[in-house]
Amino acid sequence: MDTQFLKSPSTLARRHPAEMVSGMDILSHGLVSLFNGAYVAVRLMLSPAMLFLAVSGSSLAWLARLEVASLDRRAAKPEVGRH
Amino acid sequence: MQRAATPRPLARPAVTPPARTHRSAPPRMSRRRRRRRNEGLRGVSVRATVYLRYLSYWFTIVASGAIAHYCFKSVPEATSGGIWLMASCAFQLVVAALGTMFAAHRRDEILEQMRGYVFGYTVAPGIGVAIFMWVARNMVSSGSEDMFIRTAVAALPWIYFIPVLVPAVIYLKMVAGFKTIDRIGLDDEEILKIYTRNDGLQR
Repeated sequence: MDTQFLKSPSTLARRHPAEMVSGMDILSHGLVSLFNGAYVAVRLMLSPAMLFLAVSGSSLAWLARLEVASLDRRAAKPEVGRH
Repeated sequence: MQRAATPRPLARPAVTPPARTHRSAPPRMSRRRRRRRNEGLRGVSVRATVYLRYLSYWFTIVASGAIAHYCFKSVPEATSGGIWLMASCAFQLVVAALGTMFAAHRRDEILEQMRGYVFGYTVAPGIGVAIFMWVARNMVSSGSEDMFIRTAVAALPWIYFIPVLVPAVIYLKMVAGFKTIDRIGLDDEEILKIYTRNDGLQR
């Protein structure tokens, strides 16, 4: 997986030493890291396994919410052990 | 003699509400506060247990998909067996979620059947077949000449799709049938015959 779709200014400076590197390196490095992270996350989420797991998780969350709602509707008392 | 001008009221005079003879509604209390007051921490833990149980369902699906994927990794005709398992589970869970919306009177039954279909008919047999196939392939690759094992190696990738794909279709049919399962298919004459006991069954 190609995660280096953007090149940071320091990389460019290393490859082209004659160019001037500005003082915005830290900010640009952070932005490049964020963009790369988002890119990798989207690439991972677009795989079929992650898609199916996300669908399963959201469906299970809905079913769990329903079961808790039925628990509330029944107003079942919690079981308390005898002392 | 001129009367003194009464000052103009700045706001409408307040209407005195009728005396309340009884309390028409309980004092308002948030759902969380009411639950904490009635059930205490135990009520919170009971509900957290439900959510944790469903989280464990999800992790079970993840783990079974990973195991099946590992077992099918070297099978050329079914490379993505784990993906198929996860797809089947996701399909059944989506069907269950939609079924709770369209057949709300059968919600509890849909939830119970979902557990049976996903884990009893799909995950457990699928994992069993996948592991058995992995063992059989290793035996054949290590030089086993057993006829049953060699046949199983060829057949098990196809047998794997029976527990993985068939329950999903059956579950879809079952949930879709909940909409009409209580509907009476008789016409008026037949219903009246049965209702008035003139159906011949009394003789």
